[in-house]
Amino acid sequence: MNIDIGEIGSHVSDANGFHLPQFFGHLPDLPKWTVCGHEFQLTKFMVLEVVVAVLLIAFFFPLARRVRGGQLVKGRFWNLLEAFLMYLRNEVIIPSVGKSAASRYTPFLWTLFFFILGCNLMGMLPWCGSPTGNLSVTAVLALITYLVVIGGGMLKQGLFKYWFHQVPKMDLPLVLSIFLKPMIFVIEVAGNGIKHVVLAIRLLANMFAGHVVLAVFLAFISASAGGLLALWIGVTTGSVLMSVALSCLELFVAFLQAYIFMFLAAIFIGMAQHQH
Amino acid sequence: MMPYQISWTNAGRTFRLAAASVVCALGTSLPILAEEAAHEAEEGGLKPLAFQTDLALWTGIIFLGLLFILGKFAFRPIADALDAREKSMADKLAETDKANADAKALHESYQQKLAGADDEVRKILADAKDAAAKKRDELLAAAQADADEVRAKGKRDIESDREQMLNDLASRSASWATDLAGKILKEKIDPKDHARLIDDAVKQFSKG
Repeated sequence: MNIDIGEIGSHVSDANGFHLPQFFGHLPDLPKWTVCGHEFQLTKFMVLEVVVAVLLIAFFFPLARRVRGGQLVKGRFWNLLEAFLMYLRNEVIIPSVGKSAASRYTPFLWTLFFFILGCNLMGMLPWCGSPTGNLSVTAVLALITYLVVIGGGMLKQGLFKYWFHQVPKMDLPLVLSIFLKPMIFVIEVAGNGIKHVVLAIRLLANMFAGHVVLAVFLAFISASAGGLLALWIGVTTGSVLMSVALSCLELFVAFLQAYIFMFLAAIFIGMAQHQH
Repeated sequence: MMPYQISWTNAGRTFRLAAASVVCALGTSLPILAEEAAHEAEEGGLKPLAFQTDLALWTGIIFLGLLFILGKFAFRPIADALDAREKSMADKLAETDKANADAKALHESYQQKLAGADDEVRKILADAKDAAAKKRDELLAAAQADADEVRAKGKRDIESDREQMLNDLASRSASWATDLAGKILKEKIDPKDHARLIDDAVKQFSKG
């Protein structure tokens, strides 16, 4: 038996082009540029991110026009989009960030949610992939979130006060506080950073693992070929059924992980608005 | 049984057998295949933790650009619109509450007025009844007085006419009597005596 996960799992990983099934032919690789002496290769995930961005603009620009002045939108799709926005704003952002700061962070958190959701859902399309199944993508999103969190905290509490407030108020003797407070400061700042690293790893792991499991199940079909026919039929049937079931789960996970990332980002922003 | 009729019992048995064989095949082959797949995945070049600087930069630029564009031209206007809608709904709700309270107050006032009007109507009816009764009594009294007066006048007239008639009768009777007496006596009675005799006779008659 031979399972070529590298080949089947190209759906999961980034690539220099889009790989169609063999009978559709072969697409040329994506272009490569040299920018300031650096060779820049356009990849599949980059293109998919642009597609997601364009789709989001195509969805939300008309919605903005339709709701202008507080008008009620008409149509299922626009109501669906508005229901998403309303739910995230009223049930997640405002309770986490606070009503006064919510208007400042709502566009960021909405963009974060829909960008991640779009990237996650790209993995459900044939021959595409989930950019969020790559550490480079999730790490940047987590880094931007981290910058927004500490930037928001400094904006609210003051440039230096934010960092001073990382250490909770404790009635300690002077000698102890000289030793303990710097250590607590380091732990708090590192903890804050680690929380954002976990944010990136969680999204990556969920999206990557789901697609790898799907790829493995489909790989069973080719792996069992060439042996007993009855075994191949059984494995193929089971693999297809499991793939369908897992795809449904993946669809749910795509929404869930986008929601969790945005939800935790909102909580971190809310926490940074107040001192310990 | 018809020759080509489907036997559902047999179909169900066949399906169960097929399902059991699939489960058995998966049960025996999946652990082996999974182990092999995991091994191949490691060697197959799937490196989820590999960091691509270009992709990271690209992602940052795309996300920040998207945040700017959507934030400025879509999400900010949408958030403002939702705020405006919520404010409008809250205002309308407050207006509705106020209108409801006003309507209730008005309703209560009308109820009170209606209750007052009932009392007034009852009072007017009672007054009207009293006035009608009074008027009726007055009219009856006046009619009674008129009737009494007419009756008294009638009585008086009748009495007067009777006396007049009696006087006339007495006068004529006396006249006839003196005339008759004079014829009988063959002497003529002078007019003075004649008048005196009639008056005496009338007086006598009236007394009688």
